[in-house]
Amino acid sequence: MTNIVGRIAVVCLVFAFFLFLSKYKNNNKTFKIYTIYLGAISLCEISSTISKCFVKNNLIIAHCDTILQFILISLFFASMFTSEVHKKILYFFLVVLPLFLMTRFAISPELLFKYDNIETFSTSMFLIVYAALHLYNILNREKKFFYVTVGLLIYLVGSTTIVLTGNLLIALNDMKLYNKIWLFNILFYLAYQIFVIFEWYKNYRQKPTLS
Amino acid sequence: MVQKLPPKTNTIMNTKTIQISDFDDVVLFTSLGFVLMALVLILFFYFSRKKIIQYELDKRDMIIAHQKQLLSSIINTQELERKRIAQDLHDDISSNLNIVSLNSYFLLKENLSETETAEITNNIISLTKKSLENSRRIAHDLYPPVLEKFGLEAGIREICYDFSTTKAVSIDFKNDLDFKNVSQENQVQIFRILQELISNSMRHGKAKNINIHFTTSKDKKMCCEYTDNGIGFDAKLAENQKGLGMKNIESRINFIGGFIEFESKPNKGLKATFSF
Repeated sequence: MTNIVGRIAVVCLVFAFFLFLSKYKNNNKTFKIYTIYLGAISLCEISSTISKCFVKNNLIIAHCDTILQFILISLFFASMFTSEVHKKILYFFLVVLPLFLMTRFAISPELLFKYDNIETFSTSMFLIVYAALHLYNILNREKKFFYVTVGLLIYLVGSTTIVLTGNLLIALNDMKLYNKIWLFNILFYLAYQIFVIFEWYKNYRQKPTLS
Repeated sequence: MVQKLPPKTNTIMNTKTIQISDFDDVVLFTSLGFVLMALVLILFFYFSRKKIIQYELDKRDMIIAHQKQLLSSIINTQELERKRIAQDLHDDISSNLNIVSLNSYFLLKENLSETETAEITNNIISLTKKSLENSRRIAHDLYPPVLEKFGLEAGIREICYDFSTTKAVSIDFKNDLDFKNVSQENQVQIFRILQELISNSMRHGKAKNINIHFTTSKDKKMCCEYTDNGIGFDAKLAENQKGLGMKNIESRINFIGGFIEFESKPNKGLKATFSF
């Protein structure tokens, strides 16, 4: 079940990437950054799927995926923020957080082959804050990338909650329940992809946006 | 033992990838994570709610300010109208009646010859006739009798004819609607709106041709399409929407529960569409 839903989510992600790519030329910087993000994440997911057949540990790809997601989604929100203060804070963490994570990997390379709670949690938290801030900013303005942001927020909050609960369950040695909730993480990811496709369908299907 | 869920869909999880730490650390990390996430979401909802309320308040303030502006324009229009009526009464009736009164005193004089009496009497008759005519014209201007007797269509045809006879403008009027279902009050308002539009087209727009077409809009509402070939104006400029005439039209549109839209550019004429 988990595998099937996972595959569907990857197909949806690649499909969304091609949809966004088809309108790449006529659109603004934000749209282009988001298309690049979809492309990069699609590549990570495909290489993760392929590498599963050949290697026993493909966590390096997951680390790349997490850091790439953080950098590109940060840039995506930075291009939509209007407040200079918000932008400056975002750019500060955009540099500091990946540097901090990479320093940790450089100091302890064995972390590259293990799950890093701090990496996943910190990147997700920052993205949750940016998504919430963007939704706050567009409350009385044009709803730029509204569905993508809502989808991302739902996925990140859901996923982070599952990750935190999963940690506790493993600490309590309840592997059965842990495996069950893992399915929800993929379901949240699938829901996010559906939101992304809906954004394209609603706002970019026909008309190009120029700004 | 702490195991972290993979963030996406196809990452291999086995015992070698599991990070090990103390149970206390896990509980601390998890609690801190939940608290942080809850804090972000609570702050988001709190500030969003505040922003929405502020937005609603600003919107209401704007509506109130707009209504105040409309009210002041109604009062101004009323004052101007009173001034005009007073002026008309003074110039066209009072002055004539003064002369009639003076002539009547002359009639009381003794030793008046028959020719003089006849001249004064004729003068009085002529001035009285003129005053009657003027008072009829003033009453007609205030409320055209044709509107009450024959309805809106006849009223519009009459103003079209009246304006066209000045040879300054040619007005083409077409009607696809039946005004029987439009209340008498609304008919008067529509008539006044058209009067204002025509007078604006002639006075400010220097239009030579005007088209008035009453038809049904796409959303099945009664509407009037008004176009002229005048010098037009920039409809987006706020100063063009602040004139007393425009405010007058807007308040009348509000009164009939309609909606008006102006499309105009310099040297491109005017197109006004209003529904009711």
